Amino acid sequence: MKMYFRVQLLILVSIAVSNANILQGTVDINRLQTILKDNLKSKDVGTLYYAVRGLKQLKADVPNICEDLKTIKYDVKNLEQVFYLTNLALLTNCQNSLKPEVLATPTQALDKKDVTIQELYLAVYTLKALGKGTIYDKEDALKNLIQLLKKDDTPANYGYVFALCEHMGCGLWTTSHAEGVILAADETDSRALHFEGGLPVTSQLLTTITRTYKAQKKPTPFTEEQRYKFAEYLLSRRSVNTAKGVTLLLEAATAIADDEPTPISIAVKGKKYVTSESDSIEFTITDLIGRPVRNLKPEEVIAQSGTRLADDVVVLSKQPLTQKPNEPTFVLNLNKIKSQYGVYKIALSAGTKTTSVNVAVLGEIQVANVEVGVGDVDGTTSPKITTITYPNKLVDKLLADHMQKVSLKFTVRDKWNKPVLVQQAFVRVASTETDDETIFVAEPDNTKAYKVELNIGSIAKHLNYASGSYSLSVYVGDSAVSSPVAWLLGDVSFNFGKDANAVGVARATGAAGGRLPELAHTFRAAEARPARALSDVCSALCAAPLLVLLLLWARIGINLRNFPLVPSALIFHLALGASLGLYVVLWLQLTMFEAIRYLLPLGAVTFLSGHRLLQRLVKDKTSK
Amino acid sequence: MKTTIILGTLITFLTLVCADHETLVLIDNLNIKETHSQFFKSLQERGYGLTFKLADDANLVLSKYGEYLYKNLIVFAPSVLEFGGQVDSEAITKFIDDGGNLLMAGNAAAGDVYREIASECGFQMDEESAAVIDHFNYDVTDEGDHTRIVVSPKNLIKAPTIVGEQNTQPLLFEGTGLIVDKDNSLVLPILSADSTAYSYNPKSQVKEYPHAVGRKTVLIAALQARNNARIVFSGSLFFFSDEAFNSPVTKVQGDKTKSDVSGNKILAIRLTEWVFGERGRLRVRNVDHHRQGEKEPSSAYTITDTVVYRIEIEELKNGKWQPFEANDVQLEFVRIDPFIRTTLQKKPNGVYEAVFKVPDVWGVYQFKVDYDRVGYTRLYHSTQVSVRPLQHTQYERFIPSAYPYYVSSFSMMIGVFLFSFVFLYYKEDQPKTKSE
Repeated sequence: MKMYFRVQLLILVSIAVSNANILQGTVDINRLQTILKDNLKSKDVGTLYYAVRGLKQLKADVPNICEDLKTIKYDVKNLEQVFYLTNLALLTNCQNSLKPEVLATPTQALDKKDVTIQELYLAVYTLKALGKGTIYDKEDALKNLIQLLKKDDTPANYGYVFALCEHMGCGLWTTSHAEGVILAADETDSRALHFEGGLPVTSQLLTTITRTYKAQKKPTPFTEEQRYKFAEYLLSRRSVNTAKGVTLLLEAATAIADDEPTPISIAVKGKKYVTSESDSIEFTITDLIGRPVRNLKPEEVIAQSGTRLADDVVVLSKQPLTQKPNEPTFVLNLNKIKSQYGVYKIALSAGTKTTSVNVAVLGEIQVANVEVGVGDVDGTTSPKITTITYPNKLVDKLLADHMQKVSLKFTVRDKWNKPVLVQQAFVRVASTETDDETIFVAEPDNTKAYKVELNIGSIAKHLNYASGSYSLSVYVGDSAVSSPVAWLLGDVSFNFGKDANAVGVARATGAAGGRLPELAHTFRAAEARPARALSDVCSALCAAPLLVLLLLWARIGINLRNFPLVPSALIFHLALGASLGLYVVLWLQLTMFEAIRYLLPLGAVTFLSGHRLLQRLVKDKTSK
Repeated sequence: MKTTIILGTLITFLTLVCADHETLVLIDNLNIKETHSQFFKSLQERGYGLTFKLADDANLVLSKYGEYLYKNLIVFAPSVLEFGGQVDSEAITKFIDDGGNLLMAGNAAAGDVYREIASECGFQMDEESAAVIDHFNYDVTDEGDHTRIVVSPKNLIKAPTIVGEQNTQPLLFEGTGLIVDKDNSLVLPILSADSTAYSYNPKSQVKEYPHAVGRKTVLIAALQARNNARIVFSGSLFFFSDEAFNSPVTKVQGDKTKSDVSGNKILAIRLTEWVFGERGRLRVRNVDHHRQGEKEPSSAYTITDTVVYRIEIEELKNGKWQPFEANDVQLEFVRIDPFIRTTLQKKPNGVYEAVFKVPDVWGVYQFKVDYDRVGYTRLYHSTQVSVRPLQHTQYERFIPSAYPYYVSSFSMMIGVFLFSFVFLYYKEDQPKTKSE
């Protein structure tokens, strides 16, 4: 039986691969419409034009804006703005609000020598909007266009020529060249197709080509694959939010969706998972813009198979989906597998198209049989084991030092109390004081019981050797779990022995910069000095001999009769006195060099006059 | 002639202005230009000249004739196996060494080129196909693997210069985790995951210890190199997409955080402002130092002088250099080791001032301002001055304890002066006693 499923699965997979491009979403028309409505208030002529064009495309109401048109600002010399203005007037039937000056710019553009295809397109469609765009010589005009195309054959230019052809009625030329242009589209990741130039060019080409073929009552030249790839590209652009982008996207998406057979989009509506309470999944099967797919019979929507990703077990096959009345919504009942949680791959087929969707069956889990024990590393003593039940906490704070280990054991059970494996079974050890945390992975044994052993001595390095209080928590989660469990078990105190730092000791901060501690220079302390009184007494003692001398001299009197009254004697003594006086001044304020400057002449005078004086004295003595 | 010169200067000036905003964008496919249009538009609106190139374009060049063509580089090409042209991880490293800025975003499928560049920049990217998973904080739009995670703005680095101040909306992230060496002081974890997150292949059971677990899982990392080149490396390209910018956020588990719009757009804009040097740039405008009470700067000071040091710092704000406001700018007075480190007082107009006494140790010193704060360019300025000992006249002259010496000297001098008279002119009173 199982074998049979496998074989069938293989076939299905191969089908799925060949049509791997089935769409997984739609363009949200309502969102786009709100964007367009918001842009109606715009004062920019381009934005307003695209907003109105988009709303017309959606067949939504457009308010009367003829009055606004009269006052709107535009550059009459700018062909593009004139194009926007005139076509806006055409769309809103406000041609009467236009000023006649708008005619000049497009006419000039047409007469220009080096006119580009884009300018031609803008000019012709501007004139057409004014009711004047008649082309007299189709053949000649087309020839000229082809000449221009040869110079610059970008997809954008082809888009303009195709659009001009619609106007001139050379649709046959379009149909003969469209296929070649489509082949020139760029492919991304071999999933999506678009033309060089992005959304504007892609949109222009898709719309003109489909319109032209429709006008000629021919089937469009897109292969089914191309349609899907273009649709895929348009889907990737669904987050546009400018009026221009929205309108272009809408037009292109509608063109692709209107094409037969339309690309089918299968998307999960709402939740992508089932739980034991809600066991069904809703799919919307629509075309690109969210309309029901024509010609799709409800009985053609079948869940071909469902396999569990974890072990490839096939759980369902050929289960029909039920359609909700008047809605393109189909319901798949997964009642059968709601108890076996995991991620399932459902191969869903709508008509001839098959796609696979991943669906999660979410289960509730509980953490049970939690045992926390503290024991010696060498296992000499049996560990003391405490059991806790969710969501309680440890009553006592556990204590463990660097010779011990903390072991934690738990099992994860599903709703039916069966032990299960989960992707994430982590134990977090976090400091209660700082932001540090370390996470350990719990590993399951054969009986699916998870176990973590924290060897205190060896985990110290993960915790910066900071002894202190830590909190223990268990995190259990899985992509197939409806509510993951984060459970704070309680506090534990670690003591890392001699390696330990005190908690809170600043570690070397890795982060750049930061304020550094201030530094101040310690100046050398002034040397100790004796008391003022002591130095005054000593000064007096030092002055005493001179005073005593003077006193004695005064008492006994001195006879200076030998003093010769000659200039040299006077000068000598004055100069000597001045030199000595200079020392006093030096002490009081002069610098050494200034003092020497004064001293040198004084010294010379003293020397000369002293010499003279001594000569005189000797002469006096000998003459006696 | 004159007009040509003026025109020439004008053009040089313009190119100089533009050169700062020349940006090369390397993408996988042109589609990225559209799926990330809002991001690129915000850059263009701020004046960046974006040049889009396919990452495997055979004509890629970063520099011509030794001159870089771009100041900034954006790499949004996770699926690239090898860059085209002259660009490879070595060229990009050199580009950074020469001062270029880099913004790089990958995803779970990013190839080895990404890993190489990441490790050159000081981060490690997790293995291929590993993604950040958080079963506790995933968004409602998640595809079932719980890899589209909702990250609280609380997990952002506390650096308003980089991430701005108005980050209140939850952020959406889908991609691979980064591992950051916490000892590398140049690397900054801009956004990190919650404790419950880990980086692993979402399709397999956790058998080995994941490379990044809990808060150590860095989602967006940044680096400011010593040459002030800036790098932002995001594990998620989705982070910058229009979808992430516009998407409402609803957390499925836990506190069920809800928000009408994600904070991605604001943060992405702030990050680009920082990484391309629009914010957090400092420069020294003027430095001045002199003795207190004087006006003229001096190149030499005497020990124990009181010195006034002023530095004027400017910050680039909204494209203009404006006075910088901070209260933690420090000045060091260094002779091999700093002798004095003091916080500069803020004065009006971005002037910072310190008044301090020069140490009583002479030698060659430097005034050093080294302002290195998270998010700012490193501001470094040093001025060399010599500090000399006291001149002989500058010592104290009237020391009370030395008065005995002064008195002895002067009494000696007076003695000599007086004695010179006595010695020279003394006339004995009774010369006749002998004859008598």
